Amino acid sequence: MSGFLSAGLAEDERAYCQRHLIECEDCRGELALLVRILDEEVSPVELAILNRVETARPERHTVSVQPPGLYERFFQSITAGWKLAVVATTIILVVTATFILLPKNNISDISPQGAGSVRTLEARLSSQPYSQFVQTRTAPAVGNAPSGTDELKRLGANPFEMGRFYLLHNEFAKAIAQLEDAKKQEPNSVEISNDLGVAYMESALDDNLDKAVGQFKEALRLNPKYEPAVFNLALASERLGHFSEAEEDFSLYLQMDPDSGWANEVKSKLQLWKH
Amino acid sequence: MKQEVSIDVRSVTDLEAHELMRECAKDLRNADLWEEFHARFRRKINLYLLRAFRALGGNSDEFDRYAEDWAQEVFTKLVQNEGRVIASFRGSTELSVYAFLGSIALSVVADQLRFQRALRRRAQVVALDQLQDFGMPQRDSETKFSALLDLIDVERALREDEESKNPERDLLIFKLHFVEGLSVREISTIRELNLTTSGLEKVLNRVRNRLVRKL
Repeated sequence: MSGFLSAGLAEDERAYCQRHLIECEDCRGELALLVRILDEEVSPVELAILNRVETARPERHTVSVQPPGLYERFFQSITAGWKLAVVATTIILVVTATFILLPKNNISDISPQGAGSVRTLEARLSSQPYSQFVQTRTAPAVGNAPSGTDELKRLGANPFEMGRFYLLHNEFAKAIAQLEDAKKQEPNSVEISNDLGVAYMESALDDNLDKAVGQFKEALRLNPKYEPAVFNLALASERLGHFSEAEEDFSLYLQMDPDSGWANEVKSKLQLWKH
Repeated sequence: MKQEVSIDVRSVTDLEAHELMRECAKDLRNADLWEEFHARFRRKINLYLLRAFRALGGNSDEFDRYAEDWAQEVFTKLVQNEGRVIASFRGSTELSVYAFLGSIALSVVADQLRFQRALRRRAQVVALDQLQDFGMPQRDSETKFSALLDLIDVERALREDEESKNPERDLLIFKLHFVEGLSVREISTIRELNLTTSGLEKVLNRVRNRLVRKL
């Protein structure tokens, strides 16, 4: 069955398998099940369960074959009530220490935006908390992109997560490819449209600016009150030299979000334009 | 003292997935190889176990309870009897490794659930989900018989399709799509069929048209 799935069969084996799968309901059902099990796309629900399992999993099971040491003798000598108290205290300490000390191993931690790092893109990604924008076109990658990519793949990141990762590492072509894939899978996702627009806009190619505008408008068609898309549409208009449209969209943005760090950036920009 | 180390530590990480599988099969006690195997495939194995569990009627919330033991069971299955199972791997691609691990994960979950259900039967306990299964309205035999006749007609029509270069393949695609409910994208992952999604859509359209004309 696995050979049929992965093209590992000889010509005659393939023909035999094909005939058998037409006739045998059980094997065909098993093949269908295997296809579904091997699906490369990992749903958010699956991802959450896997992360939970990984977090709960002990690192190693070791079996001690040494004679009882001080620790064991201490345990043997105390009463059951005290044993219970010691065990409970130890568990609490270990759990607390684990939360405080151990590095987490999930996708959002590999992604640099989750680490509260400096923002190198002027545009606003979906679900991105505000951080100060540092303007540079030659911004170094925030973290180690290749190793992070491997880790993301290992964790079964979906195209959207991969796209955002590349975007935050200023690898725009790869980001666009991943986000386009994500968009095909979820055409009605406001977040993907917005982030794809950002990837086009930041790729520094003139004709991509129009594509960016298209994506932001698509996001706003899906959700007219989606703040990041309004913010980004205004930015795109500014870069296209359409200042009146940009001003209009920035003003609209301030009506939706008058107080945040993003709003302060918009206010500074509008103030600058007046002078 | 170790007599010979076939691969140095650095090259273990450079091995392709199928090469790593082969090396592990050759040397069941090489800690470096198995560390790498564990690091690379553990997540996938968990994913396959989870999907198999859900597909076979398991409740996702209960998966945490079994995950660790079942993953160990997959590793045990690979290496037991001097690695008979892992030595049977013949693939040469990354996908073949995943397909191999997926089928083992599926068999582990199926065995475990079968075992658990047998225990429940022995204890004369009927699970709520099983009770619901029994309570489901069964299709009457007449409907089943009619559906079977329809399928026989479909098979005959497709086998006699003169326009198709590969009528058997088309029939299998038809059954995978309409009987097993696989999507075009899912069917396109079956490499032996060697068709892209657009190729599959063409096949399915042709099959549909053929059936409309014939039936």
